[in-house]
Amino acid sequence: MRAFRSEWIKLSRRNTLIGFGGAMVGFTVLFTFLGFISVGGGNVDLDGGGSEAFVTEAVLALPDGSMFAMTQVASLLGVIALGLFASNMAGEFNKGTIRMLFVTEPNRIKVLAGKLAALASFVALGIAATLAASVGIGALLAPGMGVDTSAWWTTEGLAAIGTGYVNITGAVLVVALIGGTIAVLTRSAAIAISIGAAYFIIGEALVTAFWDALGRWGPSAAANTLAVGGAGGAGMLGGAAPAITYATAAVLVVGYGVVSVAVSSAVLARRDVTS
Amino acid sequence: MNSIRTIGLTKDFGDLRAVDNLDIDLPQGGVTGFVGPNGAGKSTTIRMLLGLIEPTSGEGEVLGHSINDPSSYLHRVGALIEAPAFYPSLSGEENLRVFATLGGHDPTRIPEMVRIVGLSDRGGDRYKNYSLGMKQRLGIALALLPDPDLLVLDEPTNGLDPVGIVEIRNLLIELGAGGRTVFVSSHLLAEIQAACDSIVMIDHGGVVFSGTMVDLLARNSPTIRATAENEADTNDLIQVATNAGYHSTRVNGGVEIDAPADWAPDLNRLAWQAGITLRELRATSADLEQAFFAMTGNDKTGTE
Repeated sequence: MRAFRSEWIKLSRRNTLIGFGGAMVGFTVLFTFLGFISVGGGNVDLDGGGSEAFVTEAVLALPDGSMFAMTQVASLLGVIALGLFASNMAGEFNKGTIRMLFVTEPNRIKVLAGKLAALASFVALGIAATLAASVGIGALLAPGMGVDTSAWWTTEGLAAIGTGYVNITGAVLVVALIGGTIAVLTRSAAIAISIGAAYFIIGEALVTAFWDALGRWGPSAAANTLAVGGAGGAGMLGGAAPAITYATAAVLVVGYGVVSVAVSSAVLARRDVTS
Repeated sequence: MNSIRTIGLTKDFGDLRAVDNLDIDLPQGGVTGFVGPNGAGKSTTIRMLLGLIEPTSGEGEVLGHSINDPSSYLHRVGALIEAPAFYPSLSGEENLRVFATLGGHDPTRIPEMVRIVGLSDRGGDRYKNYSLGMKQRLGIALALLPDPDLLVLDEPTNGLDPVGIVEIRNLLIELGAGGRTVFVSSHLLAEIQAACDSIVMIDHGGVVFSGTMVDLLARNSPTIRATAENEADTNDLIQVATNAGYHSTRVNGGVEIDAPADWAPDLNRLAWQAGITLRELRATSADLEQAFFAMTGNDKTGTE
Protein backbone atom coordinates (compact mmCIF):
# COMPACT_ATOMS: atom_id res chain seq x y z
CA MET A 1 0.00 0.00 0.00
CA ARG A 2 2.89 2.38 0.79
CA ALA A 3 4.44 1.69 -2.60
CA PHE A 4 1.06 2.29 -4.22
CA ARG A 5 0.61 5.66 -2.52
CA SER A 6 4.21 6.62 -3.20
CA GLU A 7 3.79 5.89 -6.90
CA TRP A 8 0.65 7.96 -7.07
CA ILE A 9 2.57 11.03 -5.91
CA LYS A 10 4.50 10.77 -9.16
CA LEU A 11 1.51 9.87 -11.31
CA SER A 12 -0.57 12.77 -10.07
CA ARG A 13 1.89 15.22 -11.58
CA ARG A 14 0.34 17.51 -14.18
CA ASN A 15 2.77 16.33 -16.87
CA THR A 16 1.72 12.71 -16.46
CA LEU A 17 -1.96 13.55 -16.29
CA ILE A 18 -1.80 15.71 -19.39
CA GLY A 19 0.65 13.54 -21.29
CA PHE A 20 -0.92 10.12 -20.85
CA GLY A 21 -4.43 10.87 -19.62
CA GLY A 22 -4.81 13.62 -22.18
CA ALA A 23 -3.58 11.40 -25.00
CA MET A 24 -6.06 8.66 -24.11
CA VAL A 25 -9.01 11.02 -23.84
CA GLY A 26 -7.93 13.15 -26.78
CA PHE A 27 -7.56 10.34 -29.30
CA THR A 28 -10.82 8.72 -28.25
CA VAL A 29 -12.77 11.97 -28.41
CA LEU A 30 -11.26 12.65 -31.82
CA PHE A 31 -12.24 9.22 -33.07
CA THR A 32 -15.74 9.57 -31.61
CA PHE A 33 -16.14 12.93 -33.31
CA LEU A 34 -14.90 11.61 -36.67
CA GLY A 35 -17.14 8.57 -36.34
CA PHE A 36 -20.24 10.65 -35.78
CA ILE A 37 -19.61 13.18 -38.49
CA SER A 38 -18.98 10.38 -41.01
CA VAL A 39 -22.23 8.56 -40.34
CA GLY A 40 -23.32 7.26 -43.74
CA GLY A 41 -26.84 6.04 -43.10
CA GLY A 42 -26.46 2.54 -44.53
CA ASN A 43 -27.70 -0.66 -43.01
CA VAL A 44 -25.81 -2.69 -40.49
CA ASP A 45 -23.79 -5.39 -42.18
CA LEU A 46 -23.77 -8.17 -39.62
CA ASP A 47 -22.36 -10.85 -41.94
CA GLY A 48 -19.13 -8.98 -42.52
CA GLY A 49 -19.72 -8.54 -46.24
CA GLY A 50 -19.22 -4.78 -46.21
CA SER A 51 -21.55 -1.92 -45.41
CA GLU A 52 -22.30 1.22 -47.35
CA ALA A 53 -20.61 3.34 -44.74
CA PHE A 54 -18.07 2.65 -41.98
CA VAL A 55 -20.49 3.84 -39.30
CA THR A 56 -24.24 3.86 -39.69
CA GLU A 57 -27.06 5.42 -37.71
CA ALA A 58 -28.32 1.91 -37.06
CA VAL A 59 -24.99 0.82 -35.57
CA LEU A 60 -24.81 3.84 -33.32
CA ALA A 61 -28.41 3.44 -32.25
CA LEU A 62 -27.77 -0.08 -30.91
CA PRO A 63 -27.62 -0.50 -27.11
CA ASP A 64 -23.84 -0.92 -27.38
CA GLY A 65 -23.54 1.83 -29.99
CA SER A 66 -22.08 4.11 -27.32
CA MET A 67 -19.00 1.86 -27.23
CA PHE A 68 -18.17 1.93 -30.93
CA ALA A 69 -15.38 4.47 -30.65
CA MET A 70 -13.86 2.94 -27.52
CA THR A 71 -13.68 -0.54 -28.99
CA GLN A 72 -12.02 0.77 -32.12
CA VAL A 73 -9.36 2.77 -30.28
CA ALA A 74 -8.65 0.10 -27.65
CA SER A 75 -5.43 -0.99 -29.36
CA LEU A 76 -4.27 2.62 -29.50
CA LEU A 77 -5.08 3.05 -25.80
CA GLY A 78 -3.06 -0.10 -25.21
CA VAL A 79 -0.01 1.38 -26.90
CA ILE A 80 -0.37 4.61 -24.90
CA ALA A 81 -0.58 2.61 -21.67
CA LEU A 82 2.40 0.55 -22.81
CA GLY A 83 4.32 3.80 -23.14
CA LEU A 84 3.34 4.80 -19.61
CA PHE A 85 4.33 1.49 -18.06
CA ALA A 86 7.56 1.19 -20.03
CA SER A 87 8.72 4.76 -19.41
CA ASN A 88 7.89 4.47 -15.72
CA MET A 89 9.65 1.16 -15.18
CA ALA A 90 12.69 1.88 -17.36
CA GLY A 91 12.88 5.41 -15.96
CA GLU A 92 13.70 4.03 -12.53
CA PHE A 93 16.80 2.42 -14.01
CA ASN A 94 17.72 5.37 -16.23
CA LYS A 95 17.44 7.89 -13.42
CA GLY A 96 19.09 5.58 -10.90
CA THR A 97 16.11 5.90 -8.56
CA ILE A 98 15.68 2.12 -8.53
CA ARG A 99 18.47 1.84 -5.95
CA MET A 100 16.83 4.42 -3.70
CA LEU A 101 13.49 2.63 -4.02
CA PHE A 102 15.03 -0.70 -3.03
CA VAL A 103 16.98 0.77 -0.13
CA THR A 104 13.85 2.51 1.13
CA GLU A 105 11.70 -0.60 0.70
CA PRO A 106 13.94 -3.69 0.53
CA ASN A 107 11.05 -5.98 -0.36
CA ARG A 108 11.32 -5.59 -4.11
CA ILE A 109 8.13 -7.50 -4.83
CA LYS A 110 6.22 -4.98 -2.71
CA VAL A 111 7.75 -2.13 -4.68
CA LEU A 112 6.83 -3.78 -7.97
CA ALA A 113 3.32 -4.70 -6.82
CA GLY A 114 2.62 -1.19 -5.56
CA LYS A 115 4.02 0.37 -8.70
CA LEU A 116 2.03 -1.88 -11.03
CA ALA A 117 -1.14 -1.42 -9.00
CA ALA A 118 -0.74 2.36 -9.11
CA LEU A 119 -0.04 2.36 -12.84
CA ALA A 120 -2.96 0.01 -13.48
CA SER A 121 -5.31 2.17 -11.42
CA PHE A 122 -4.08 5.24 -13.30
CA VAL A 123 -4.81 3.54 -16.61
CA ALA A 124 -8.18 2.26 -15.37
CA LEU A 125 -9.15 5.78 -14.30
CA GLY A 126 -7.90 7.11 -17.61
CA ILE A 127 -10.04 4.63 -19.51
CA ALA A 128 -13.04 5.53 -17.35
CA ALA A 129 -12.52 9.20 -18.12
CA THR A 130 -11.99 8.37 -21.78
CA LEU A 131 -15.16 6.30 -21.86
CA ALA A 132 -17.15 9.04 -20.17
CA ALA A 133 -15.82 11.59 -22.63
CA SER A 134 -16.51 9.36 -25.62
CA VAL A 135 -20.07 8.52 -24.56
CA GLY A 136 -20.71 12.13 -23.59
CA ILE A 137 -19.44 13.53 -26.89
CA GLY A 138 -21.41 10.86 -28.73
CA ALA A 139 -24.60 11.74 -26.91
CA LEU A 140 -24.07 15.41 -27.71
CA LEU A 141 -23.37 14.82 -31.40
CA ALA A 142 -26.03 12.13 -31.93
CA PRO A 143 -29.12 14.37 -32.31
CA GLY A 144 -27.45 16.46 -34.97
CA MET A 145 -26.55 13.34 -36.97
CA GLY A 146 -29.99 11.81 -36.62
CA VAL A 147 -28.86 9.04 -34.31
CA ASP A 148 -31.36 7.84 -31.72
CA THR A 149 -29.43 7.13 -28.52
CA SER A 150 -32.36 6.08 -26.38
CA ALA A 151 -31.13 2.46 -26.42
CA TRP A 152 -27.84 3.56 -24.84
CA TRP A 153 -29.56 4.33 -21.57
CA THR A 154 -31.53 1.12 -21.30
CA THR A 155 -30.39 -1.60 -18.94
CA GLU A 156 -28.88 -3.43 -21.89
CA GLY A 157 -27.11 -0.29 -23.04
CA LEU A 158 -25.66 0.51 -19.61
CA ALA A 159 -24.58 -3.10 -19.21
CA ALA A 160 -22.77 -2.82 -22.54
CA ILE A 161 -20.92 0.22 -21.25
CA GLY A 162 -19.94 -1.62 -18.05
CA THR A 163 -18.87 -4.77 -19.87
CA GLY A 164 -17.06 -2.77 -22.49
CA TYR A 165 -15.15 -0.89 -19.81
CA VAL A 166 -13.99 -4.11 -18.16
CA ASN A 167 -13.03 -5.68 -21.48
CA ILE A 168 -11.14 -2.66 -22.75
CA THR A 169 -9.38 -2.14 -19.43
CA GLY A 170 -8.26 -5.77 -19.40
CA ALA A 171 -7.07 -5.58 -22.99
CA VAL A 172 -5.20 -2.33 -22.43
CA LEU A 173 -3.58 -3.50 -19.20
CA VAL A 174 -2.15 -6.69 -20.66
CA VAL A 175 -0.48 -4.68 -23.40
CA ALA A 176 0.85 -2.26 -20.78
CA LEU A 177 2.11 -5.07 -18.54
CA ILE A 178 4.01 -6.62 -21.41
CA GLY A 179 5.54 -3.21 -22.15
CA GLY A 180 6.55 -2.87 -18.50
CA THR A 181 8.20 -6.26 -18.56
CA ILE A 182 10.16 -5.40 -21.70
CA ALA A 183 11.30 -2.25 -19.89
CA VAL A 184 12.48 -4.24 -16.87
CA LEU A 185 14.40 -6.57 -19.16
CA THR A 186 15.95 -3.87 -21.36
CA ARG A 187 16.15 -1.06 -18.74
CA SER A 188 15.47 1.35 -21.59
CA ALA A 189 12.20 3.20 -22.16
CA ALA A 190 13.04 3.93 -25.80
CA ILE A 191 13.83 0.31 -26.60
CA ALA A 192 10.87 -1.04 -24.63
CA ILE A 193 8.38 1.34 -26.24
CA SER A 194 9.84 0.71 -29.69
CA ILE A 195 9.66 -3.05 -29.33
CA GLY A 196 6.25 -3.04 -27.64
CA ALA A 197 4.57 -0.55 -29.95
CA ALA A 198 6.02 -2.14 -33.07
CA TYR A 199 4.82 -5.56 -31.98
CA PHE A 200 1.29 -4.53 -31.07
CA ILE A 201 0.76 -2.14 -33.96
CA ILE A 202 2.16 -4.23 -36.80
CA GLY A 203 4.55 -6.93 -35.61
CA GLU A 204 2.06 -9.61 -34.64
CA ALA A 205 0.04 -9.07 -37.81
CA LEU A 206 3.18 -9.47 -39.92
CA VAL A 207 4.26 -12.66 -38.19
CA THR A 208 0.72 -13.99 -38.47
CA ALA A 209 1.12 -13.93 -42.24
CA PHE A 210 3.66 -16.73 -41.83
CA TRP A 211 2.36 -18.33 -38.65
CA ASP A 212 -1.42 -18.44 -38.35
CA ALA A 213 -1.49 -19.52 -34.74
CA LEU A 214 -0.08 -16.20 -33.55
CA GLY A 215 -3.10 -14.47 -35.05
CA ARG A 216 -5.31 -16.56 -32.78
CA TRP A 217 -3.26 -16.97 -29.63
CA GLY A 218 -0.88 -14.01 -29.66
CA PRO A 219 -1.21 -11.23 -27.06
CA SER A 220 -2.32 -8.64 -29.59
CA ALA A 221 -5.02 -10.91 -31.02
CA ALA A 222 -6.23 -11.87 -27.54
CA ALA A 223 -6.29 -8.24 -26.36
CA ASN A 224 -8.14 -7.08 -29.48
CA THR A 225 -10.69 -9.86 -29.17
CA LEU A 226 -11.28 -9.06 -25.52
CA ALA A 227 -11.57 -5.34 -26.26
CA VAL A 228 -14.37 -5.87 -28.77
CA GLY A 229 -16.15 -8.27 -26.44
CA GLY A 230 -15.63 -11.35 -28.57
CA ALA A 231 -17.24 -10.99 -31.97
CA GLY A 232 -19.48 -8.06 -31.07
CA GLY A 233 -17.52 -5.01 -32.06
CA ALA A 234 -15.87 -6.46 -35.12
CA GLY A 235 -19.09 -7.90 -36.44
CA MET A 236 -20.95 -4.72 -35.59
CA LEU A 237 -18.72 -2.64 -37.82
CA GLY A 238 -18.60 -5.13 -40.62
CA GLY A 239 -15.18 -6.67 -39.98
CA ALA A 240 -14.29 -10.32 -39.77
CA ALA A 241 -15.19 -12.10 -36.54
CA PRO A 242 -12.22 -12.86 -34.23
CA ALA A 243 -10.65 -16.28 -34.56
CA ILE A 244 -11.02 -17.07 -30.87
CA THR A 245 -13.92 -16.82 -28.47
CA TYR A 246 -14.36 -14.17 -25.84
CA ALA A 247 -13.69 -16.71 -23.10
CA THR A 248 -10.49 -17.89 -24.73
CA ALA A 249 -9.37 -14.31 -25.17
CA ALA A 250 -10.07 -13.57 -21.53
CA VAL A 251 -8.06 -16.58 -20.39
CA LEU A 252 -5.17 -15.67 -22.69
CA VAL A 253 -5.13 -12.07 -21.51
CA VAL A 254 -5.02 -13.14 -17.88
CA GLY A 255 -2.32 -15.65 -18.72
CA TYR A 256 -0.15 -13.13 -20.54
CA GLY A 257 -0.62 -10.69 -17.68
CA VAL A 258 0.40 -13.24 -15.06
CA VAL A 259 3.45 -14.30 -17.06
CA SER A 260 4.50 -10.66 -17.52
CA VAL A 261 4.25 -9.90 -13.81
CA ALA A 262 6.07 -13.14 -12.95
CA VAL A 263 8.94 -12.34 -15.31
CA SER A 264 9.26 -8.78 -13.96
CA SER A 265 9.17 -10.05 -10.38
CA ALA A 266 11.79 -12.73 -11.00
CA VAL A 267 14.14 -10.33 -12.76
CA LEU A 268 13.82 -7.54 -10.20
CA ALA A 269 14.07 -9.85 -7.21
CA ARG A 270 17.25 -11.54 -8.39
CA ARG A 271 19.14 -8.91 -10.31
CA ASP A 272 21.95 -6.94 -8.67
CA VAL A 273 21.31 -3.22 -8.71
CA THR A 274 24.53 -1.80 -10.07
CA SER A 275 23.22 1.19 -12.04
CA MET B 1 26.78 -5.05 18.82
CA ASN B 2 28.69 -3.63 15.86
CA SER B 3 27.08 -1.31 13.37
CA ILE B 4 28.75 -3.03 10.46
CA ARG B 5 30.59 -6.32 10.48
CA THR B 6 31.78 -8.32 7.51
CA ILE B 7 33.72 -11.56 7.43
CA GLY B 8 35.32 -12.64 4.19
CA LEU B 9 32.82 -10.65 2.16
CA THR B 10 33.48 -11.28 -1.51
CA LYS B 11 31.82 -10.18 -4.73
CA ASP B 12 32.68 -11.33 -8.22
CA PHE B 13 31.33 -9.81 -11.41
CA GLY B 14 32.17 -12.51 -13.89
CA ASP B 15 35.94 -12.86 -13.83
CA LEU B 16 36.41 -9.59 -11.97
CA ARG B 17 36.72 -9.81 -8.19
CA ALA B 18 35.39 -6.45 -7.00
CA VAL B 19 35.52 -7.20 -3.28
CA ASP B 20 37.94 -9.77 -1.93
CA ASN B 21 37.54 -11.32 1.52
CA LEU B 22 36.64 -8.06 3.14
CA ASP B 23 36.69 -7.96 6.94
CA ILE B 24 35.21 -4.86 8.54
CA ASP B 25 34.36 -4.33 12.18
CA LEU B 26 32.66 -1.03 12.80
CA PRO B 27 31.59 -0.14 16.34
CA GLN B 28 28.45 1.82 17.08
CA GLY B 29 28.63 5.59 17.12
CA GLY B 30 31.12 7.99 15.64
CA VAL B 31 32.14 8.81 12.12
CA THR B 32 34.11 6.29 10.11
CA GLY B 33 35.71 7.08 6.78
CA PHE B 34 35.74 4.55 3.97
CA VAL B 35 38.50 5.30 1.51
CA GLY B 36 40.30 3.62 -1.32
CA PRO B 37 41.34 4.28 -4.91
CA ASN B 38 38.82 4.18 -7.75
CA GLY B 39 37.77 0.60 -8.37
CA ALA B 40 38.89 -0.51 -4.92
CA GLY B 41 35.44 -1.91 -4.17
CA LYS B 42 33.93 0.82 -1.99
CA SER B 43 30.67 1.22 -3.88
CA THR B 44 30.25 -2.52 -4.32
CA THR B 45 30.77 -3.00 -0.59
CA ILE B 46 28.24 -0.30 0.24
CA ARG B 47 25.72 -1.83 -2.18
CA MET B 48 26.14 -5.22 -0.54
CA LEU B 49 25.59 -3.67 2.89
CA LEU B 50 22.42 -2.03 1.59
CA GLY B 51 21.02 -5.19 0.02
CA LEU B 52 21.37 -3.99 -3.56
CA ILE B 53 23.98 -6.56 -4.52
CA GLU B 54 24.16 -10.15 -3.42
CA PRO B 55 27.58 -11.23 -2.13
CA THR B 56 29.31 -14.07 -3.93
CA SER B 57 30.55 -15.40 -0.60
CA GLY B 58 31.25 -14.31 2.96
CA GLU B 59 29.02 -12.89 5.64
CA GLY B 60 27.94 -9.48 6.71
CA GLU B 61 25.89 -7.88 9.44
CA VAL B 62 24.39 -4.43 9.69
CA LEU B 63 23.02 -3.32 13.04
CA GLY B 64 23.16 -6.94 14.16
CA HIS B 65 21.19 -8.35 11.24
CA SER B 66 22.45 -10.42 8.34
CA ILE B 67 22.82 -8.58 5.06
CA ASN B 68 20.90 -11.46 3.51
CA ASP B 69 17.81 -9.99 5.17
CA PRO B 70 17.97 -6.25 4.42
CA SER B 71 14.33 -5.77 5.39
CA SER B 72 15.31 -6.36 9.01
CA TYR B 73 17.62 -3.35 9.26
CA LEU B 74 17.25 -0.96 6.31
CA HIS B 75 14.41 0.96 7.99
CA ARG B 76 17.07 2.07 10.52
CA VAL B 77 19.59 3.02 7.84
CA GLY B 78 19.86 6.25 5.87
CA ALA B 79 21.84 6.06 2.66
CA LEU B 80 23.23 8.20 -0.10
CA ILE B 81 24.65 5.96 -2.81
CA GLU B 82 27.03 7.56 -5.27
CA ALA B 83 25.32 10.38 -7.16
CA PRO B 84 21.90 11.33 -5.77
CA ALA B 85 19.05 10.05 -7.92
CA PHE B 86 15.61 11.63 -7.85
CA TYR B 87 12.65 12.35 -10.11
CA PRO B 88 13.48 15.41 -12.23
CA SER B 89 9.95 16.72 -12.67
CA LEU B 90 9.16 16.63 -8.94
CA SER B 91 10.28 19.28 -6.49
CA GLY B 92 12.84 18.46 -3.82
CA GLU B 93 10.15 18.17 -1.15
CA GLU B 94 7.90 16.07 -3.39
CA ASN B 95 10.80 13.73 -4.01
CA LEU B 96 11.30 13.36 -0.28
CA ARG B 97 7.56 12.70 0.10
CA VAL B 98 7.75 9.89 -2.47
CA PHE B 99 10.42 8.11 -0.46
CA ALA B 100 8.94 8.99 2.94
CA THR B 101 5.65 7.43 1.84
CA LEU B 102 7.38 4.36 0.44
CA GLY B 103 9.49 3.84 3.55
CA GLY B 104 6.74 4.67 6.02
CA HIS B 105 8.76 7.56 7.41
CA ASP B 106 7.17 10.53 9.11
CA PRO B 107 6.52 13.11 6.35
CA THR B 108 6.37 15.92 8.90
CA ARG B 109 10.16 15.55 9.17
CA ILE B 110 10.63 16.69 5.57
CA PRO B 111 10.72 20.48 6.21
CA GLU B 112 13.20 19.95 9.04
CA MET B 113 15.48 17.77 6.89
CA VAL B 114 15.33 20.30 4.08
CA ARG B 115 16.28 23.01 6.56
CA ILE B 116 19.18 21.02 7.98
CA VAL B 117 20.78 20.62 4.57
CA GLY B 118 20.20 24.27 3.68
CA LEU B 119 17.51 23.85 1.04
CA SER B 120 14.63 25.59 2.83
CA ASP B 121 14.22 28.27 0.21
CA ARG B 122 14.54 25.86 -2.75
CA GLY B 123 12.64 22.82 -1.49
CA GLY B 124 9.68 23.64 -3.72
CA ASP B 125 11.78 23.96 -6.88
CA ARG B 126 11.92 21.17 -9.40
CA TYR B 127 14.80 18.79 -8.92
CA LYS B 128 15.88 19.17 -12.54
CA ASN B 129 16.66 22.82 -11.84
CA TYR B 130 18.97 22.01 -8.92
CA SER B 131 22.73 22.47 -9.08
CA LEU B 132 24.94 19.48 -8.35
CA GLY B 133 25.51 20.73 -4.82
CA MET B 134 21.77 21.13 -4.21
CA LYS B 135 21.13 17.62 -5.50
CA GLN B 136 23.76 16.35 -3.11
CA ARG B 137 22.12 18.19 -0.23
CA LEU B 138 18.76 16.69 -1.11
CA GLY B 139 20.37 13.25 -1.12
CA ILE B 140 21.67 13.85 2.38
CA ALA B 141 18.23 15.07 3.47
CA LEU B 142 16.77 11.80 2.19
CA ALA B 143 19.39 9.82 4.09
CA LEU B 144 18.46 11.68 7.29
CA LEU B 145 14.72 11.23 6.76
CA PRO B 146 14.31 7.89 8.60
CA ASP B 147 16.13 9.30 11.67
CA PRO B 148 18.64 6.50 11.14
CA ASP B 149 20.88 4.67 13.59
CA LEU B 150 23.34 4.15 10.76
CA LEU B 151 24.07 6.64 8.04
CA VAL B 152 25.87 5.35 4.94
CA LEU B 153 27.01 8.18 2.69
CA ASP B 154 28.90 7.66 -0.54
CA GLU B 155 30.72 10.84 -1.58
CA PRO B 156 28.38 13.21 0.30
CA THR B 157 30.39 16.35 -0.43
CA ASN B 158 30.65 15.73 -4.15
CA GLY B 159 29.79 18.95 -5.97
CA LEU B 160 29.50 21.09 -2.86
CA ASP B 161 31.20 24.44 -2.59
CA PRO B 162 33.71 25.02 0.24
CA VAL B 163 31.02 26.41 2.53
CA GLY B 164 28.80 23.40 1.82
CA ILE B 165 31.68 21.01 2.48
CA VAL B 166 32.29 22.55 5.88
CA GLU B 167 28.55 22.46 6.67
CA ILE B 168 28.29 18.79 5.79
CA ARG B 169 31.47 17.99 7.68
CA ASN B 170 30.09 19.65 10.81
CA LEU B 171 26.77 17.87 10.32
CA LEU B 172 28.52 14.49 10.12
CA ILE B 173 30.55 15.21 13.24
CA GLU B 174 27.38 16.29 15.04
CA LEU B 175 25.51 13.17 13.96
CA GLY B 176 28.38 10.92 14.99
CA ALA B 177 28.68 12.60 18.37
CA GLY B 178 24.97 12.14 18.93
CA GLY B 179 25.24 8.37 19.05
CA ARG B 180 24.60 7.58 15.42
CA THR B 181 27.09 5.69 13.33
CA VAL B 182 28.16 7.51 10.20
CA PHE B 183 29.97 5.50 7.52
CA VAL B 184 31.18 7.89 4.89
CA SER B 185 33.05 7.27 1.67
CA SER B 186 34.90 10.14 0.04
CA HIS B 187 37.81 10.98 -2.20
CA LEU B 188 38.38 14.19 -0.27
CA LEU B 189 40.93 12.77 2.14
CA ALA B 190 41.35 16.03 4.02
CA GLU B 191 37.63 15.98 4.74
CA ILE B 192 37.75 12.40 5.90
CA GLN B 193 40.64 13.26 8.19
CA ALA B 194 38.79 16.27 9.58
CA ALA B 195 35.48 14.52 10.16
CA CYS B 196 36.25 10.91 11.02
CA ASP B 197 37.26 9.18 14.25
CA SER B 198 38.14 5.95 12.53
CA ILE B 199 38.83 4.75 9.05
CA VAL B 200 38.55 1.72 6.83
CA MET B 201 40.95 1.80 3.90
CA ILE B 202 40.58 -0.69 1.09
CA ASP B 203 42.49 -1.44 -2.07
CA HIS B 204 41.91 -4.07 -4.74
CA GLY B 205 38.82 -5.22 -2.86
CA GLY B 206 40.57 -5.92 0.44
CA VAL B 207 41.14 -4.00 3.67
CA VAL B 208 44.59 -2.43 4.01
CA PHE B 209 43.80 -0.62 7.26
CA SER B 210 40.95 -0.55 9.71
CA GLY B 211 41.22 1.36 12.96
CA THR B 212 41.26 4.79 14.50
CA MET B 213 42.49 7.80 12.62
CA VAL B 214 45.06 8.41 15.38
CA ASP B 215 46.52 4.94 14.92
CA LEU B 216 46.70 5.36 11.17
CA LEU B 217 48.46 8.69 11.31
CA ALA B 218 50.86 7.42 13.97
CA ARG B 219 52.05 4.84 11.47
CA ASN B 220 53.31 7.54 9.18
CA SER B 221 56.31 9.53 10.32
CA PRO B 222 56.45 13.26 9.92
CA THR B 223 58.83 14.59 7.29
CA ILE B 224 60.88 17.68 6.58
CA ARG B 225 60.92 19.02 3.08
CA ALA B 226 63.99 20.97 2.01
CA THR B 227 65.00 22.40 -1.33
CA ALA B 228 68.46 23.74 -2.14
CA GLU B 229 68.66 27.10 -3.86
CA ASN B 230 71.07 25.51 -6.31
CA GLU B 231 69.68 22.20 -7.50
CA ALA B 232 73.20 20.87 -7.94
CA ASP B 233 73.47 20.87 -4.13
CA THR B 234 70.64 18.36 -3.73
CA ASN B 235 72.94 15.37 -3.42
CA ASP B 236 74.97 17.19 -0.79
CA LEU B 237 71.76 17.96 1.08
CA ILE B 238 70.83 14.28 1.05
CA GLN B 239 74.30 13.53 2.38
CA VAL B 240 73.79 16.01 5.25
CA ALA B 241 70.60 14.20 6.24
CA THR B 242 72.22 10.79 5.90
CA ASN B 243 75.15 11.87 8.08
CA ALA B 244 72.64 12.90 10.73
CA GLY B 245 71.05 9.46 10.57
CA TYR B 246 67.90 10.25 8.62
CA HIS B 247 66.58 8.65 5.47
CA SER B 248 65.75 11.03 2.65
CA THR B 249 64.19 10.91 -0.80
CA ARG B 250 64.32 13.19 -3.81
CA VAL B 251 60.87 14.61 -4.53
CA ASN B 252 60.12 17.20 -7.20
CA GLY B 253 63.55 18.84 -7.16
CA GLY B 254 63.76 18.86 -3.37
CA VAL B 255 64.36 16.37 -0.60
CA GLU B 256 61.94 14.78 1.82
CA ILE B 257 63.62 13.70 5.01
CA ASP B 258 62.02 11.30 7.46
CA ALA B 259 62.80 13.39 10.51
CA PRO B 260 60.85 15.10 13.28
CA ALA B 261 59.84 18.72 12.83
CA ASP B 262 62.12 19.96 15.59
CA TRP B 263 65.17 18.82 13.60
CA ALA B 264 64.43 21.43 10.92
CA PRO B 265 66.57 24.18 12.57
CA ASP B 266 69.47 21.74 12.89
CA LEU B 267 69.13 20.86 9.20
CA ASN B 268 69.17 24.52 8.28
CA ARG B 269 72.34 25.03 10.31
CA LEU B 270 74.07 21.89 8.95
CA ALA B 271 73.18 22.80 5.38
CA TRP B 272 74.60 26.30 5.84
CA GLN B 273 77.79 24.85 7.29
CA ALA B 274 78.00 22.57 4.23
CA GLY B 275 77.71 25.58 1.94
CA ILE B 276 74.14 24.87 0.91
CA THR B 277 71.60 27.67 0.86
CA LEU B 278 68.03 26.49 1.29
CA ARG B 279 65.20 28.19 -0.54
CA GLU B 280 62.56 25.97 1.07
CA LEU B 281 62.41 24.34 4.48
CA ARG B 282 59.20 23.13 6.04
CA ALA B 283 58.09 20.39 8.36
CA THR B 284 55.03 18.36 7.40
CA SER B 285 52.99 16.40 9.85
CA ALA B 286 51.63 13.05 8.81
CA ASP B 287 48.23 13.28 7.09
CA LEU B 288 45.71 10.92 5.62
CA GLU B 289 46.85 11.63 2.10
CA GLN B 290 50.36 10.44 2.86
CA ALA B 291 49.01 7.43 4.68
CA PHE B 292 46.69 6.67 1.78
CA PHE B 293 49.48 6.73 -0.76
CA ALA B 294 51.80 4.81 1.48
CA MET B 295 49.28 2.07 2.18
CA THR B 296 47.75 1.74 -1.25
CA GLY B 297 51.02 2.13 -3.14
CA ASN B 298 49.37 4.62 -5.47
CA ASP B 299 51.80 7.49 -5.04
CA LYS B 300 51.64 9.59 -8.21
CA THR B 301 52.71 12.80 -6.56
CA GLY B 302 55.99 13.13 -8.35
CA THR B 303 58.43 11.10 -6.27
CA GLU B 304 61.55 10.53 -8.37
